[in-house]
Amino acid sequence: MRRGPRTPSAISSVLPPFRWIFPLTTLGLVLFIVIPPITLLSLSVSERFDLAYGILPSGLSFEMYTQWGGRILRSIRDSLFIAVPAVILCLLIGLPVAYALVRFKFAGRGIVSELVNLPMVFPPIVLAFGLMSLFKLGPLAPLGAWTAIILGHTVVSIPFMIRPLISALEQIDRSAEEAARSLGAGPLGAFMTVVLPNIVPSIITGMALVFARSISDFEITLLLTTPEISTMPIAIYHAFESGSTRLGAAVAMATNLFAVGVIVILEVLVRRARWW
Amino acid sequence: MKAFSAQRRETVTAWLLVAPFIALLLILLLVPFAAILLKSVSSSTAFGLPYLSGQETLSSIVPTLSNYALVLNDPHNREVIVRTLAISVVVATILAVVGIAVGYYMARRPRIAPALSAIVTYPSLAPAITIIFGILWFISSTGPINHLLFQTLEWINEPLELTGTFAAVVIGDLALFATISVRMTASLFEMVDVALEDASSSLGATERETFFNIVLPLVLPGVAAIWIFVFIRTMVAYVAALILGGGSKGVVVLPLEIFNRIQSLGISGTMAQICAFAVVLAVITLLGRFLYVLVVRRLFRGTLSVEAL
Repeated sequence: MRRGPRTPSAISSVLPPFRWIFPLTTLGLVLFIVIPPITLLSLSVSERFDLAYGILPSGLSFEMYTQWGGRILRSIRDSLFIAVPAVILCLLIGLPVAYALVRFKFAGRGIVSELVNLPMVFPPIVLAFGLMSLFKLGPLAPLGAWTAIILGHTVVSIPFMIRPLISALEQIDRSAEEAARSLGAGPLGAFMTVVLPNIVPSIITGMALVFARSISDFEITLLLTTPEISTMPIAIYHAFESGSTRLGAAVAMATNLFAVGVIVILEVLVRRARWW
Repeated sequence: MKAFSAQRRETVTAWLLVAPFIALLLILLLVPFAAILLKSVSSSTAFGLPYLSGQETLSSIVPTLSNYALVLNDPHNREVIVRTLAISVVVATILAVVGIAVGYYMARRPRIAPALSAIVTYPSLAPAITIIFGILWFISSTGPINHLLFQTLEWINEPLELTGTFAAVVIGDLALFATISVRMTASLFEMVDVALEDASSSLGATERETFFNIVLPLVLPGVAAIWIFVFIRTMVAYVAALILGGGSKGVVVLPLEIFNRIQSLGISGTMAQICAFAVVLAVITLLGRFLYVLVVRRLFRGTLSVEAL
């Protein structure tokens, strides 16, 4: 154990009583996280633009939601058209990768396991620029913008599927699978009957994470989208850009409710007490 | 011989299983990046990337570093790069301190930790753009901060105009990445045995001495890793600067500069320069990642793995 530097005594005269630093910082962070969404919510149901104390709605009006409900629903639909295929693709492509990385010792395993992390750290704007060159100006143009966005989301969110699967697979005893094999099950049969049932919770977690990543994506979608595709983040951006702050706030709140709601439901499905 | 062929069959099976993933990465990420890399050293002003959307090929490219020279020597561009690094350093440093304070509190208060964790996790579940628009309103001239300081307490004579400043982008990025830092740091503190603290205090050390001499040194390597992680995430994010930075004349960061240039591609054909920008950003990011992996592997032996939030 390395000994740390001694505390400079000068600090002690400036700071509040030491034990208070931790709860006070926590309180500050909680307020910083909680207040902005509350103001957005207030803004979306407020009659007037000036909020009471800058936080609470002044007068109640659901005009934004009733008047623009169709537009909000359309962007939810567009987001789903992209997120659902992305989740399925991530599962189909990601599960074999996780299985191979956990079960097999093979040449190039180190490279593959680092490649799994690459989409998470690669700058989204550079990825989007490359995709734009492929799909808008390049050889894959016939596939269209929907495919481009779905595949783009699949690439950036696939680590969120693979990583939970890896840690789930690592906890499964290999001998159970081997026992199934020795009793005559084929490799696929053994996988389906012994391995798969045990990793369902992690599959759902992975699906929730990929869904969240896809629903939230703005930086990649913005470069690939066309006027007819308006996912929720894009709709929010356009609403605020055109100056309709309250509409933007309404779409943002609907998005939050939808995105966070789906994730919470999925995680409750997994019946994990500590879903967070 | 038999063992050798079994080993080979395992390799073949494994590669068949990962083949779709590798193909996906190759086609959608690695090949386009290779084309960007090629274009960034091409002297041609032609539109489009070699092999992808342009006519250029490896043999027709006349290699040059002039695009990088243009990118790195132009005062505006240099300002953008320095500003991006500065924002990332400020955000990562503030979040390291906040992460230590909140993470320690959460790790030592198991009763309220779940509720705190749920609140702190919220920004990572909600779409980034909604968080940033929340912040836009939060710091606006009619938002709660100005309401409190200007109208209620009357501490200031006119509303603070934060939008379009360096601070606004920092605040936005803080809101986006607080989750990562706090949760990763909390899990660091959870790994520190409480018995150590009890031992320290029973030997007569004050709370402060125990914290700075016993607990903090144990988690510092992890905090360093988290610092790098947040730094990279801030480097590549452009939502905060796009919404809070005040437009293309305001606080522009490196990824936003690339975005703005892509948007105006039709007007000024600076494809090669965009590519040079993209390569600079990618290289900084990948270097950071390399450093992160190094720190985590060497100092921390892989116990820090909460990054997939």
